[in-house]
Amino acid sequence: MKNKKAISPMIGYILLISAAILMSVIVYTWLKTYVPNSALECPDTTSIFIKSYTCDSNQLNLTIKNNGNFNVAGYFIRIANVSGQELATVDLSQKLVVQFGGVTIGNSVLFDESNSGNSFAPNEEAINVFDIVGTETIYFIELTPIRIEEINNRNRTASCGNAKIKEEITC
Amino acid sequence: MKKNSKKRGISPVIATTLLIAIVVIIALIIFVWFRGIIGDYGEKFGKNIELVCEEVLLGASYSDGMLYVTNDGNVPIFKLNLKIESPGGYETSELNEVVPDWPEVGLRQGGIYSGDISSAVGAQDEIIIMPVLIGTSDKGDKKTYACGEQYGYVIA
Repeated sequence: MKNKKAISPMIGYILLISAAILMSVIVYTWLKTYVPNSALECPDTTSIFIKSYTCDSNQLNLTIKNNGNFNVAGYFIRIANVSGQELATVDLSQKLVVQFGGVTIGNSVLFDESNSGNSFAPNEEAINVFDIVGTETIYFIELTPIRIEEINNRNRTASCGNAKIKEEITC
Repeated sequence: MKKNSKKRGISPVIATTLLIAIVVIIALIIFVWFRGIIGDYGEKFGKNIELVCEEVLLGASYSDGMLYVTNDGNVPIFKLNLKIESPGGYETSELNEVVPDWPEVGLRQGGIYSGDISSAVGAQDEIIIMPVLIGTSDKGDKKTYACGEQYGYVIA
């Protein structure tokens, strides 16, 4: 039986290493979904606020200022028109009067009509006008800033929920 | 007693191949079994959907029978589970079974919902809402995942 040979040690090593690599790839592919990666979120010091407002029975004029450290693209705007309500649940974005600036995209208001990203710089101010005909008494407004963030080479809209502000007004 | 020298086993090449094949098959079986224990809940945003539950950010309140919910985060909410705890028991149901007008696509970024749930809630009940997300399974199918109570919002 002297001529009886097994596979060469080199092929043995190659087979073993290939099997190990294959199994590692399978396990890695599976486990990597359990590793948290960067979430879509805004930088911590993103902030806007309502510097002033005026309103009559037809229009609500808001002067919005960026008092944060980062540019923002726009905001979600909601109002509460029920007394005692804790959460503003009436979307006002569709009532934007675009002649005075801003543009409505989906349920958000963007500062730049050309929708060119995070255009509203720190310390900048913008006046947005909303048509409130038919809206009942407004008790407060909630604004949630929006930023365009790049995730995996894709631009995505990020809602800055942690920077949401609530301003009580009388309209 | 003389041994029969012509008694041969399988060749070493076949033996090695068989061993490797058996090891790979056993490894695969254990892998599939272990995955079954952990559960394949699907993925969202390239990660396990369980991890995405931590990123959900909702605003929620309840007054006079009306439930108000806003999606302040960046994770779309497909549905909401409603857990109503009464003295001596609790009941969990999907919000869209309680209210007829839950949006079919759920609540996207900045989405708002308000609905009357007074028929399901008693005066002394505690309400917890828990998000239900939609992800993608290994096969590419849409798959819903109900976030656990630790991700719920106690609103009343």
